[in-house]
Amino acid sequence: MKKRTLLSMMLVAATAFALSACGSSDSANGGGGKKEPVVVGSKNNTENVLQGEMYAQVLEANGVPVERKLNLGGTMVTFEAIKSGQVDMYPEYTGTGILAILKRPVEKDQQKVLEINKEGFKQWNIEWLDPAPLNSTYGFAMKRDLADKLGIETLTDLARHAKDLVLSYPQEFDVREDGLPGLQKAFADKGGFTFKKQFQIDYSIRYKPLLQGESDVTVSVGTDGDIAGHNLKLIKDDIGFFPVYNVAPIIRKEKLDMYPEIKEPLNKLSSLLTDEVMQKLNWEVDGPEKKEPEEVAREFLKQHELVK
Amino acid sequence: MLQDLQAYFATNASVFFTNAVQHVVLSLTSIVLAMLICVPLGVFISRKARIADAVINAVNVCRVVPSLAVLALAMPLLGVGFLPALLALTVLACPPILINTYTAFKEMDPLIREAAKGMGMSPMQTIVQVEFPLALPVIVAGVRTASVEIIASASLAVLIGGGGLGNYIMNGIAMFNVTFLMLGAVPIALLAIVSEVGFSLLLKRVTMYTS
Amino acid sequence: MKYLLTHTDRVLDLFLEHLSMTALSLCISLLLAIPIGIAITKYKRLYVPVTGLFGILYTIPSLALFALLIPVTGLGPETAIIGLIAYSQMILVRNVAAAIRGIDPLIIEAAKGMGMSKAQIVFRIEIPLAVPVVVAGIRVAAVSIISIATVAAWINAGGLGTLIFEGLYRTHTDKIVAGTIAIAVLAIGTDLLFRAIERLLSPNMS
Repeated sequence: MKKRTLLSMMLVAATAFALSACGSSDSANGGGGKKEPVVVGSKNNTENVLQGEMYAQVLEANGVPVERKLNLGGTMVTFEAIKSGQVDMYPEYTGTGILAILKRPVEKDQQKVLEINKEGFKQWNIEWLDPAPLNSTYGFAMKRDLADKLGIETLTDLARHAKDLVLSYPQEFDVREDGLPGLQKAFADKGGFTFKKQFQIDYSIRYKPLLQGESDVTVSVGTDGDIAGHNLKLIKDDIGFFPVYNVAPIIRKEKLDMYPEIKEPLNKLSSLLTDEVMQKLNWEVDGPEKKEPEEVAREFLKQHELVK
Repeated sequence: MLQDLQAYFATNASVFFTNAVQHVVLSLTSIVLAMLICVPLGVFISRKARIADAVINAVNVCRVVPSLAVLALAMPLLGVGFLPALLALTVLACPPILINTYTAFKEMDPLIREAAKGMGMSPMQTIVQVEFPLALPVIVAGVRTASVEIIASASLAVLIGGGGLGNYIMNGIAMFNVTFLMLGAVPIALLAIVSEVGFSLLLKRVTMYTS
Repeated sequence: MKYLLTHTDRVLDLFLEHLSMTALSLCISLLLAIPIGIAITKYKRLYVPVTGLFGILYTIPSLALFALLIPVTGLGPETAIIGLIAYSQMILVRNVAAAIRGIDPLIIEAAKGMGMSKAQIVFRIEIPLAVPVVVAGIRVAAVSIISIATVAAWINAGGLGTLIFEGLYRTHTDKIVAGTIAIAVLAIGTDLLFRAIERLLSPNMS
């Protein structure tokens, strides 16, 4: 008898523990004080986590309560989260907005891109604040010696040599219109854009195969610290294929209306984020220093007096 | 959804097949490597009671390490690409095969060994001609367990550049695109089911043969 | 090892998240498996189709199963918990059925002969005899879903897998090691706990 009682007590305790674990997180969502927090999200890559962390710290410095949901996942995962209200704001790229989310054709004029995004996102009550000057565009990077040996400077050169080269790419690139499928269409009449071999590598470690010699070409992003850090060669986009990817905070209208005072400091932050700045900050996280994004963000914001 | 698939296959059919073949190659090679290592090792430790406990305990501890962790650890140690993924999967395939081989040989009736000796067989002959056929069903059961685990774990190989059908699962999750999710998940599930059914048929054959 | 020492709080938080996710899955799973297990022993025709179905579920790779659930239940712990329940059903249902089938019919006959009522037989004979076998099933299921739950971090369910993904993303070996050790500790601890419970229950119950 005793042992059975003991067992049932254990089971009850385990269940209670499991239930209380769930309950406590619910109450944290529901009753977080008088002021409703702004939930800051981000995709799961260094640059966006850094930017999300900066947004969060700027908001906190302005007395706005913040809940962080950084490192969420890929583009559509994060967008679904803001659409459904699981997050209130996150850093998004203008190019991704029109191509991947609104599914519009490529547009070169930066101002027009922003207009299209602002207009298009109204259907979900999501607002675009000012975009940063940085351009996190897709591109290709190679080791200098191989690129020079083959004389590869531009996308057109790369297309010509692709069939002898191995490409490593991060998730999404092989199925996005602004990635491989789009390039294959763009080069359809000019000999195609097909590699000898192609394989996926996680976005975060996309330079490893190239550096290790497993691939000859890797997909890069304009603001990667790795290009300068490893002295790689960036292939020029001579056909104007890749759109511009300026990053901007996108935010649910209801939260912006609730805290209109955050607009100005966020816009000021964006104006500071150039390619060079972002490359440096990304490298502090991804490079040999391996700093935490939170720390890198705080140092940068302090330096520019956006936080105390 | 079907249109998406058609569009993808129109230009990338060969890429899909490369990924599917890579998934099978990764799984199959790691299983074969694990068998080559673990069957002899299992037989060996079944004769050495002193080290057997230590080895089996160590393997049991290793067994609780998730496949994701093994693949993630392979990256800093061995780098990225096919080979690190293959080695990580081989490590993952070892425990069930080793434990089952060990158990099968350990639990064998000592009279059988005596009888074989009495018939003038050498220890090696005894193992190969008598004990191994008797142990086969248990070993095959171990390989079966390992195979299902490996086919599943191979979907994570893509994280470290190992290729395989995980390619589509990662794309599907990142882009919230059901078409690509299915393009990865369905063939992987089918591979696992085919492997299960195949081994259960094989198991019936070898059990019939031994009994 | 350094990360484990410098970020103990974070590892502990994720450890508890992992624990509560798997514990909750296991509790729900058990509540389902016991009636299902009893049903398929009473209605023997159900045994093969039901265990077959769970067997097939079990063969679907976890990443694929989680991925297939995303369109239905979205991202987050709910999806992970549903997946973990599906996986543990196979082990638990088989064990519940085996536990009931394993009871020697002679004991039941003897109890009847002693004039026990049906309810008394269930509560005083069948359940105490079946519990150790069921606990063994819970142990195996718990250890396996602790491992499977690692992948759940990929669909934003949190837990110790978060550390492994972060470590992988940033080639932060220390984080991977910390996550691996924490998971191993959780799994081995769970295994030992349930073994102790089994031992407590298994010798005759007088």
